[in-house]
Amino acid sequence: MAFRNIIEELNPIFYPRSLALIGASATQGKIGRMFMDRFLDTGFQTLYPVNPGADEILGLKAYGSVKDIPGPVDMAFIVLPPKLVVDTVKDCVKKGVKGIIINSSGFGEIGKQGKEIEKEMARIAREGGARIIGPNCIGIYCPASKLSFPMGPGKEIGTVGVVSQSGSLADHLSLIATRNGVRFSKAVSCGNECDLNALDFFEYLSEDPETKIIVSYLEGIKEGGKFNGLIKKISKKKPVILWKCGESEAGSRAAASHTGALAGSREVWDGVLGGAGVIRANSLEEILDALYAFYFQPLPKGKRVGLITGPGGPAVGTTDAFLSMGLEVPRLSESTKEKIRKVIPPAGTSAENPVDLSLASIVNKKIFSEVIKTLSGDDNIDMLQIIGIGGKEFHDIIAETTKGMDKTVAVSYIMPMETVMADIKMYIESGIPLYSDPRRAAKALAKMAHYAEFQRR
Amino acid sequence: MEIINAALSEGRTVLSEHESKRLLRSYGIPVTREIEVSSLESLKKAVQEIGFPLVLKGSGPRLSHKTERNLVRVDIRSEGESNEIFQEILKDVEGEGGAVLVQEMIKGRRELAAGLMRDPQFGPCVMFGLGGIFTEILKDIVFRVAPIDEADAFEMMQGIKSRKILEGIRALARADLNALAGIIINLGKIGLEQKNVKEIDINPIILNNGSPVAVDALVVLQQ
Repeated sequence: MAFRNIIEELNPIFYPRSLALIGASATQGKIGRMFMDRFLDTGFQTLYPVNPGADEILGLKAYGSVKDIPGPVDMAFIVLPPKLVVDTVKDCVKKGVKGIIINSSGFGEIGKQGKEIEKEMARIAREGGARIIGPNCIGIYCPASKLSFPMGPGKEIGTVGVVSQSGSLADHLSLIATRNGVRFSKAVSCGNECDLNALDFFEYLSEDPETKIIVSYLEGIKEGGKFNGLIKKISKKKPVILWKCGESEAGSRAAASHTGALAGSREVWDGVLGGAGVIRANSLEEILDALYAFYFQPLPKGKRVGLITGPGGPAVGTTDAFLSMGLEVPRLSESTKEKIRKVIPPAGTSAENPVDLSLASIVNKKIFSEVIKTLSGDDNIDMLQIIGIGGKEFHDIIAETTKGMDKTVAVSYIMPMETVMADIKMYIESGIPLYSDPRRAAKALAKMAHYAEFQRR
Repeated sequence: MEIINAALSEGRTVLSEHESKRLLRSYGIPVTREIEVSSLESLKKAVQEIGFPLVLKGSGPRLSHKTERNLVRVDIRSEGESNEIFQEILKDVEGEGGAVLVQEMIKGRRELAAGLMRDPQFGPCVMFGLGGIFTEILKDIVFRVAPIDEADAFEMMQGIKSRKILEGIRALARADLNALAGIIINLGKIGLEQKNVKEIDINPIILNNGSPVAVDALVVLQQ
């Protein structure tokens, strides 16, 4: 089998120098207008609106067909009614377009006839040296190429790659994450996968030097065997945070044995992903919580957590959470405890792990800095979770004392949303993930620890 | 494979317990010592070879629901007992072309399960987990796609909630993990090499002083 250079193959699709928006429009309320706005907003340099009904759209010269465009066209973004798409694909191929993104819906997702049309389009493209993403997708978000999603996520270039079989999930995920300081390399909305599929993009992101973390939403995989063979290799290289959906099967399998009856889609997928060290998420919130930890913090060297809390209440529940997720909240050494006892009030506190700094820490936040310094110097601790009540002073102390520390840190508040919102920018700038609930922080840290262990094997 | 081809040519989609175990044994999976008999004469020889205590079971290619039909009789301790029970079972099964399986009785308090199925997306998958009559209720099982290597097999064994039963606990011997891994790996091989095998159930696998033995097995075929 010939070695596939996936980077060479797909780079033209991620880095197009020129783009034809076929179905562009100046009319508000039309999708063709929405994408015009998007490309103009990011400043995509060589943009050709294509619409036979206009000479000019939003200040740019418009063309009746992609074939009328004088210069080369690397990419076509098709926003047309489905019945016009096949001929448009033919035109694109004649023009020498390399990457064709079909936003239009009304194909395979509707029925068999649609699937046939998809096969036809894929064939036309392949024979003409082009590749198709979609149909029924929202395309590519690649800040380096000034390609963006409808919701307009951040413009800075980063290291998170996304492969999503849900366009809107990828859209919202990248919007929220970029607002919270995360930066992306490439995000792909796969659509109906008539040509390029999720596995192709997984392979690409795995090889892409710009991508350090992969996030994914999958409902199904076309080449299961190939995926199973590749996913462990990919996961060993880069963390893969995956939301696998679509567990319930329409109708049970016809199984003649107990094993067959027990093997639902979910059990098999759990086996595939569990064996590959893939980080599982079951909601957008879980994806984001995990992403913030993986993006901002180093992987822990072990599973041992040091928990520091202001007033002690949440410590117990959080300790339970850590333990139930397979992490350790170890006893501190005598010398560590001695150092802690020197700085905390003698009553209403605890120098044991979880370290309870009591009410006094609310008025004298400096207690936190001494204790954090002590724990960060403790070789029996790999991760720190600090629970507090917010504010700039609290943040500054944490940022200062954890700087240059080789432990994984997460902070959580048990405060109203406004407090979390007000403080989050500071934490983003300091590269420390902030959670609105200690249990969410615990979940994210647990995922980091388990993945780190998988990578070490 | 001969056993499989013979069954398929007879229009069968299932191997008998005895045939299933022969297939498993050919792939290095430890199974009970057993002899299939249908006359008092051969019973006598079989009983001497297998030794007491033993198990007598109805046996046959189309025989199912043995326990419900009272065709599984354990802890048989004498020739007299085995003669009597043999007659009982044979009377029940000979109408459907059945015979009687004379099987060694494996002692052990821990039961595991293993199996094979074919997933439409991923192909042959091996199952491993807690066995016995509560397998479907407790569902303490894990799956992996074949081919399975040693590392995968060990991960599977660590992946069940009941993994501690594999350790030496409460005067029970530590399970022979290498032997268990071998069962898992070889089930994967069957899945990849024997296209006519659709599904396999091995339940229970009894840990006899830590050594796993397949005490019952079912192989389902496909064209």
